[in-house]
Amino acid sequence: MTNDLFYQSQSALPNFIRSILFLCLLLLVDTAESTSVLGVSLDEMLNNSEFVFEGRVINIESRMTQNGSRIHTYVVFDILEIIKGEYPNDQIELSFAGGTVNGMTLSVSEMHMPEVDEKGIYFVEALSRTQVHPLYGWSQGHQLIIKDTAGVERVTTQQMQPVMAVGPAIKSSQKQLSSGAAVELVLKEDSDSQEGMSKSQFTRKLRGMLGQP
Amino acid sequence: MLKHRYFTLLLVSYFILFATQGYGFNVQDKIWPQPSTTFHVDIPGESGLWDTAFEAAMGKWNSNTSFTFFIVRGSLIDPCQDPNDVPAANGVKFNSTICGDAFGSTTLAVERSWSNSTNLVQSGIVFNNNKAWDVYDSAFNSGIFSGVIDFRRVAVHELGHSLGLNHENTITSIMNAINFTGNTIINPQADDINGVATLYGGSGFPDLVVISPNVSNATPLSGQSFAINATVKNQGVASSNGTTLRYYRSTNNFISVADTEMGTDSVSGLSATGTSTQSLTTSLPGVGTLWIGACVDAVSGESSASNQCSSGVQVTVIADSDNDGIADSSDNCPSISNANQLDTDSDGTGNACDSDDDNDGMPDSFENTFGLNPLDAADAALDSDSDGLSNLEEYQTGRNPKVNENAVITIINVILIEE
Repeated sequence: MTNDLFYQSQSALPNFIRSILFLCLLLLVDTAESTSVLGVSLDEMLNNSEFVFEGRVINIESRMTQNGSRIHTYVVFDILEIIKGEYPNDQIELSFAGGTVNGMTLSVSEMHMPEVDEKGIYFVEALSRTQVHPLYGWSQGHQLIIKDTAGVERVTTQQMQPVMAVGPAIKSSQKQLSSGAAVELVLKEDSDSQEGMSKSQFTRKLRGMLGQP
Repeated sequence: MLKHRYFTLLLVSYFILFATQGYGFNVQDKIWPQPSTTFHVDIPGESGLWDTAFEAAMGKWNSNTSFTFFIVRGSLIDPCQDPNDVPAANGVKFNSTICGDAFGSTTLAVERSWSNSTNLVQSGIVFNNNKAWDVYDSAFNSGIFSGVIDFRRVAVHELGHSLGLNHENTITSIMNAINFTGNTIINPQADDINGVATLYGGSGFPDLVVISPNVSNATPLSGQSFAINATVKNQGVASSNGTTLRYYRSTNNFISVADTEMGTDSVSGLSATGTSTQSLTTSLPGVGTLWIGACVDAVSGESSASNQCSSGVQVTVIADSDNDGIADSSDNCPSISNANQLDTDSDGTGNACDSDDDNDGMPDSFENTFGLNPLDAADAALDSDSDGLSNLEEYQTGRNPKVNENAVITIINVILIEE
């Protein structure tokens, strides 16, 4: 009986595979997620983030979640300086929803994942739970650190706009577009890393807002 | 069993399927096979407030675009359902997670769409029930609604994703990714409507932009003519009326109507996707680096008036004090016009500025006065008046090279003796 089944299976295999192939062509290859995200202030972001650090990305890997229903991309950072919070290790892994595993893609709109060797200041909302985006306010909690030609490290938004200053929040009613950055950040519209706040100025400002010396 | 089936699909997918990535602009790469889809709506709570608001959000797209959202009222479909396991259907709900992932405190809602190789097949919307929600039209998250999220405008945004729009962060749009305090956008905007028209057809609006600005000479001399070229494009979905293109110079690479206007051109009406290339011949005063660009006047019904200007093209104006077409830095006589740059003695100073063109030691003025050749150094050694002194020595001793002063003195002396 077992042998019969085996042979039956063998003879039926091409049709089975054809059926699966056909199903896959007809059915689902990709999943995409798109969001509405709340605009936040730097003060709110700083106070509500559990962990804020300067780090460098050393590894990125996409994996299926354990229940096999979702794809996440895991980004490992070297922690270079802790601005707020505590973490027991020199490295931290953050999970971002989305990625590609075995040819299947979960794409998440506005999900700008860090890249290997990227250096930045990251506002982690919570260390104990897996969020669709681990950074507070998505791109708003993701600042980049870029060296200018003189070797000075300067801070930009995730969209590479230099942060010129941290100033009073622009009256929201006067805005109709979000820059993708916290509202108090005064930005230069073009990408020019020769200008903007240095990393030390920016982190000093953050520490000042936290009441640190 | 389900896991096994999923695993099988996954393995086969590895061989035959390709990962895709949503691309820019404001539309997705997968759309519905027809300009409509159906949502099952049964959102419990608040005596049907959410159902009514969600249906109203669908109506905002239905009344403004060619896309139609149909509704099945009182029918619950889990937006997290996997259409590999159950028939594809669109659903909406409040939940504390996004199909298992935490929302985080700033994520208001998520639209999750599934697609096959050609089309969207399912859309689900999950609203974050960790937030306070209500339905209102006033400024977002402000005043009496501070800390309260407007369900309806978020639903309009998420339904925009459902029908195939991506985020649009450069133009006023309901599809802006981040909803900030004070935002007053509650309906699909002209740009959103254009996006739908691009995907599914239907009427829309013109949208003029200025593309490909360039100059014929990026390092012109001061006062030198050069051409500025720019193309006006109607990237909207409806024809535009005639308008005006204005050329500007700026101190930075962002061109706006606040910059210094240099000239204008008329632009005729353009069909959707139509273009018109214009050119202005001009010159620039002074020297230094500046940026050139152009802005097109918005036309009636334009979907966005915030994208009328081109980027700037860097131009460095080179000094040419005498306007002879030769930059001062390489002009052998920058103060006097000498386009031919004649320099007979090759001493680096052009004849126009050289007091001794042939470099023979006798100034041009001396040579001209006494009929010598200012362009021939050989006449310096000649003794034109045969007095034993060369012309050069005559100049150096303050004599006339054409008169033998010694003979004259002798004659005078003779005359005096005879008297």
